[in-house]
Amino acid sequence: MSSRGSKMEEVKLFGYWVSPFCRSVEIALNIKGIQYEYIEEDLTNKSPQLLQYNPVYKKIPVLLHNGKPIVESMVILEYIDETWKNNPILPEDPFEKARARFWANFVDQKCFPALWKTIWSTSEQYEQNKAEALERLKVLENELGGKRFFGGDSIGMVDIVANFIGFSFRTIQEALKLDVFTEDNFPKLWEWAENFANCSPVKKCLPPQDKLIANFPPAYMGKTLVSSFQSRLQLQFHPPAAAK
Amino acid sequence: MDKEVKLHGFWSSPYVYWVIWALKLKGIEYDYIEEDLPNKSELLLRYNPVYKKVPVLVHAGKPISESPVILEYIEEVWPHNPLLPKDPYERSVARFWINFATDKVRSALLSFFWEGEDGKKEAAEQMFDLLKISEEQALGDKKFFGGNSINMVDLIFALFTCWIQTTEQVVGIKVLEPSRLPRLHAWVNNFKEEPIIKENLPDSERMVEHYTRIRSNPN
Repeated sequence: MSSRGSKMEEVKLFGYWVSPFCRSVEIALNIKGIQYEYIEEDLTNKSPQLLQYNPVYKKIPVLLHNGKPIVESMVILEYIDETWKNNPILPEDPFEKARARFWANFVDQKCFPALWKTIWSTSEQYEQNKAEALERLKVLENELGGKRFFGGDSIGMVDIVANFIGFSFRTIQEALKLDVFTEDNFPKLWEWAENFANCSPVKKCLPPQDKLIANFPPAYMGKTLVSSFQSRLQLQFHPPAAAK
Repeated sequence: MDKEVKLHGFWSSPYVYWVIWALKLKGIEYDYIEEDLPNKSELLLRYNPVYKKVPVLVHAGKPISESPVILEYIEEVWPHNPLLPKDPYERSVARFWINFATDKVRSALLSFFWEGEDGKKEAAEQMFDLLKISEEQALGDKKFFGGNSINMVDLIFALFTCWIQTTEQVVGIKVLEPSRLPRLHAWVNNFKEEPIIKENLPDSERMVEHYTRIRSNPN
């Protein structure tokens, strides 16, 4: 699809190939048919532009639209949907939109960290982390119900935010011989993942499986994470002693 | 069609105030249902089965949970007296700061509240650092985060400010001082003078008493 508007709009995405947060943005841009320049960041040596565009967090993804930076993947998704009105990723009805936002937040704040923890578990931690991940996936599968996608007939914000579950996690868990997300345990979610990974806006930006597998060798289990994920997850991993 | 608006809340829950202020600023009539949190109502558990938490907004019988989602819903259904900018880029900046508050400021506040004698000074400094970033980059020279009038960003920072000020008294360390955070301190005073906010602030004495009790007896 050609880029929209009467003049070429400049859209750039600063990302990191493994990051599911970055992937969310790419999928949304692909759904809308927006042409963009992708800039791969070396997270151990962040570019001056990244630090300039995201001074508070210094993290990817950063979307640059006509020179203006938008950061935080969920904020970027809302921006994309509001700026390019074709192929909406959120429902029009306010209540359905609220539902989608609720579940996107659930995936982002509850599912992703739980799954991520299982990858980086020591053998002592694994069973407990797995139990938590199973619980979260169960809730998610209940929400999916009989729908093809969380967004209905086509992928929407919840599907996009769940991209890690839809593709990368299955590849990684297979490489590490984990048994968290299985077809037996989650038949509906499994089918969703197959359909999701086969959608063209998703297929266009999936990382090569062999590269993904090479990035998560079994030797990493229990060791320190790449910093871009760690700080985000620190807060999830160290909850307060009691909730207010 | 039942157009009724109901809000399930708890008097000491910060996020409930966020919703109350938004409803009041937009002049939306609603019924308030005070939940007894150790003993949650059937309705609450039915409306928010995933998290079982307040606030829950019920509009025409349909429940909406999670305060940022509730605020966006309110903004969309009742667009008068807007609480978010119209321009998508300006909206993204507002949403960024809302996330910053609900994620970073909240975590720092919880640490500030729960840290024991050894860690509380450092937790207070971390709290200060985040407030400094907010003052310099989010508020700047503006009267409010929203510019000349209050918007959703003001509301979220205001509620955290109330809780920070309560925590200062409970823990015994001041963070939001006029000498160190002059513009933010001025903003707090401006904010608390806004008529609707003034009439709907949590009772600070009751809060200090409540949170002092919680801190010394977490169960």
